[in-house]
Amino acid sequence: MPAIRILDPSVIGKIRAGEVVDRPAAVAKELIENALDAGSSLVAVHASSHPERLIRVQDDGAGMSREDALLALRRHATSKIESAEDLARIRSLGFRGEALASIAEVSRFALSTRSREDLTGTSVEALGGAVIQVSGVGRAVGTTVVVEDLFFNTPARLRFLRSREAEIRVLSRVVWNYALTYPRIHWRFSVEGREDTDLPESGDLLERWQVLYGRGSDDGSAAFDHEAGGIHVSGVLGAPEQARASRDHQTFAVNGRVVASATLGAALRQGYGNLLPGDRYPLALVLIEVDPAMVDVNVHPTKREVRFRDESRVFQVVRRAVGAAMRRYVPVGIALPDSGSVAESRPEGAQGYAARREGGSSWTAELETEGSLMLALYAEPAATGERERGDVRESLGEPEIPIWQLHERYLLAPIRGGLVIVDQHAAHERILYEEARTHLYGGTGTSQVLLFPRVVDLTPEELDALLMLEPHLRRLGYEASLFGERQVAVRGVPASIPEEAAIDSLKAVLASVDTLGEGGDPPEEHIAKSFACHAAVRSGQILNPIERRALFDRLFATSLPHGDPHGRPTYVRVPMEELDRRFGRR
Amino acid sequence: MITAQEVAMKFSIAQTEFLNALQVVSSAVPTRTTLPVLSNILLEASEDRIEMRATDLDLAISTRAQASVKDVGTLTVPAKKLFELVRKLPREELKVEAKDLTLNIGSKNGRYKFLCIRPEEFPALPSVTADVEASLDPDLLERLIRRTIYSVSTDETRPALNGSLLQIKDDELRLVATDGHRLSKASCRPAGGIPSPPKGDVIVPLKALNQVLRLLPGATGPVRIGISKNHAQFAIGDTTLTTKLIEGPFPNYEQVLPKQNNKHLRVKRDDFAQALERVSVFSDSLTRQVKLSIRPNRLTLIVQTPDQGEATEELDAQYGSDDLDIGYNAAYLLDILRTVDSEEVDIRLNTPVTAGLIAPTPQGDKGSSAKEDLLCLVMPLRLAS
Repeated sequence: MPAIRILDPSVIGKIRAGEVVDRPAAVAKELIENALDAGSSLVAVHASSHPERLIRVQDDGAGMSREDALLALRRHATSKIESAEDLARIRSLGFRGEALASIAEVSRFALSTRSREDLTGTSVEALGGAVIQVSGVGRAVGTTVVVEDLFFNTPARLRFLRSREAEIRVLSRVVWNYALTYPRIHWRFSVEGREDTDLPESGDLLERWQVLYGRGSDDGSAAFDHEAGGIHVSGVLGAPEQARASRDHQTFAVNGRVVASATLGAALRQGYGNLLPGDRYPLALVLIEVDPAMVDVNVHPTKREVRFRDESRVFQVVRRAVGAAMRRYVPVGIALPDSGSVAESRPEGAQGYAARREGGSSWTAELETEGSLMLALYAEPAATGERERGDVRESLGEPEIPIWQLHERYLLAPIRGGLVIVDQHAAHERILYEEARTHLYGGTGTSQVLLFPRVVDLTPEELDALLMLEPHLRRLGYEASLFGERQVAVRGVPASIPEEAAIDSLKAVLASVDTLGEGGDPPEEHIAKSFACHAAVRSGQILNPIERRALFDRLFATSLPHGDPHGRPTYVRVPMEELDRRFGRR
Repeated sequence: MITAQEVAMKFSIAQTEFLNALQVVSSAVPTRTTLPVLSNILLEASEDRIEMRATDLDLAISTRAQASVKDVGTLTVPAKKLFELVRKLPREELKVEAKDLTLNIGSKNGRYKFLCIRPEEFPALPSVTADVEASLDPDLLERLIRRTIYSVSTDETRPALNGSLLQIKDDELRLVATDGHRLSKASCRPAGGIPSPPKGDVIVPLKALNQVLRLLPGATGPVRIGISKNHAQFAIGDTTLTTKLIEGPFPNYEQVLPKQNNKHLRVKRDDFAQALERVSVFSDSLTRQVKLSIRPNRLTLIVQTPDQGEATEELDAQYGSDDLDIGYNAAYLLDILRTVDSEEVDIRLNTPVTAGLIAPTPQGDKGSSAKEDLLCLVMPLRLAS
């Protein structure tokens, strides 16, 4: 008997079905794509708490005639393409005509449908791919597919399913991804034993996003839209502070098809730049529209992955689109409330800091004119600042909004709708980094000339570094000259930081010259980072109320206030809702 | 086995007298301390008065209040609570009685009981045997301190600058303070002269200077200053402040006072200060940079801050040297001008990157018995070219 046999067609079917349908979520995906291709305006997905037991997808799309309904269960039966050339022009989500057949092959399958032209609908029932009953049925235009007992005839596959919670999670993710990508469609999603989600047709991506992610309009997420070189990128970007440890909350879609793509993921991450630490991933919805000829969706049986004809171009466009959006991004909701309204959480709170900044008259600007901020930013509360602070409060004639300092490390302030917590070191680092860059690339920084020049000991390497970096250091505000063999006399320091911090950061910049050029940073970038890191106030340093306020205002006046130059967050927002939840108020 | 030594004390005192004394010493009580007894005030009843003392170990303030004492004794009482209670009590005679480790205060209608700490735990006052003694009019001392205290550095890495140098030299008593960006030196020749000092300079901590400033108003009679190796003592009426000194050396300030500043600008103090206040509204909040553009008989103040705006003011001045543009931290200039009481100030300059000197314009003898002098140095900001 020959060892090699031609497989029985039913076995082939099951194998191929396994390629398309590997878990309940895949069933949902295929059925949702069919519903979308049918031009539905409502898609309802229901799953049992064990999703392999029952999944139902119902739409109000075009529906099928009796003939089509029967054909649909045959492999490679599709209305979507006719010839191989069509593959290059695919606009529809499905095209291989495998989905329904594959699902039917491994389940108890029931389909009921009615097209607009027909007066009565058709009901088809199949078991393991074999049609067992066809009948007429009265129903509305559209299609309903019910898939029960998935994998009943492929027990191996059944055993490979994960816990029902995990399967529900993956299935939910599929529905969410499509709901995010298609806001103009009314979605209903229910899982047995869980709260139903009803998402009526929505005007735009951002609105749908905010509903789905259960956040208010001031969560900092923002829509973006960008087109370059025939590639149209749009979507919603979550605020950096909401970034997660996993990529689960990222949705990518190409020409309306939800896909996974390492290229797009990397482009998104790079677009956020150093706003995020390396191990955090932003929440995002990224939709790409390109000429279908530029995409190959037929890479994988489930079409989960796509390939672009020009991957690097797509990468560049997406990265730039995200980068540009993040540069414009101003953290809303950080507006410190007007006096007296701290306790209120106002719906119009979203107007945010930007408006106030444009107004030009922030209250700290007034504070800063009182007395020396240079002194004030670093002086001990017990020092000369005491008297000045009294005056300040009087001159403003209104109670101050408190900014508390927690364990000499964090600053806490009430904001509309919650609490903001600022990391004092990270925040100051961001401020100084941007100032340093401004000086290194343009206007020289102001230098405070010192009465007693500081003599600093240097290693020969550091001395070399000093000679090499001298022009840069001068632009930062340093004035240094050789003083003997191994020493340098610092006669001037950047005027906006205390002398001690200035000397520390000079040493740090010189010591770090070894790593200059690593990571492809230009020297200016390297110096700015190193300078900011060592010149910034430390954790453990007491800040008086004026200093705290100055730090707040200066931070939120920077171009990217939410992260320090290394990508660590500078602040965290705690919404009232979260506090309320913790106290069991809701 | 430890037996509690019996503590007893009994006196009566007027509420106002008690409160005034408590007010004087309370500010020496540290807000946070690891040594619980430091949160207390030491009360010591003897003969016809109560002696009170508080300390944070760096600095101690003691004072006396009139009282009629029945039983002499001593005890330490929680400072904050005692002060708060006495402040709220009506103006009447209070009966105070200590028994073991409780202190009872009785007013007309009330009885109040404090839990106390044994007096033996309270740190003893360092005995200061003064090597140098000086006696100064309180107003004069206040002026000397105010004219220098703003220059004291708060940079903890340079402790020697965290106080004012007290120096007796060339028949002058001087206070000198610097933070490396500016330096102020105020001096006087007390009418009574100064006994020739056997010892040189000491550095008085900022905290002590602030406390002395607080105690001075209303002081009657001269302030006696005593200096020993490690301590300074200021006796102001019934109150004595004792402070540790900061270990030096203080930088040799005389060496850095420029001698070649030949460009001489004279300007009206008030006009200059007010113009500075106005233009600095537009200055950078940290550098406070203002440019002084100095031309023959004209001083122009210029502030240009990107994103903030700009301001210019022109002032009449006396100036006959070469044109000079020089940058300063406006706050530093204002600190100086606030402590100068002459109608005009003399500003002596050299180059845009070297120290400038500011001093009150010498005035005719106002009949002051003590000849006073003030010299302020301020380092410029290098203007971006």
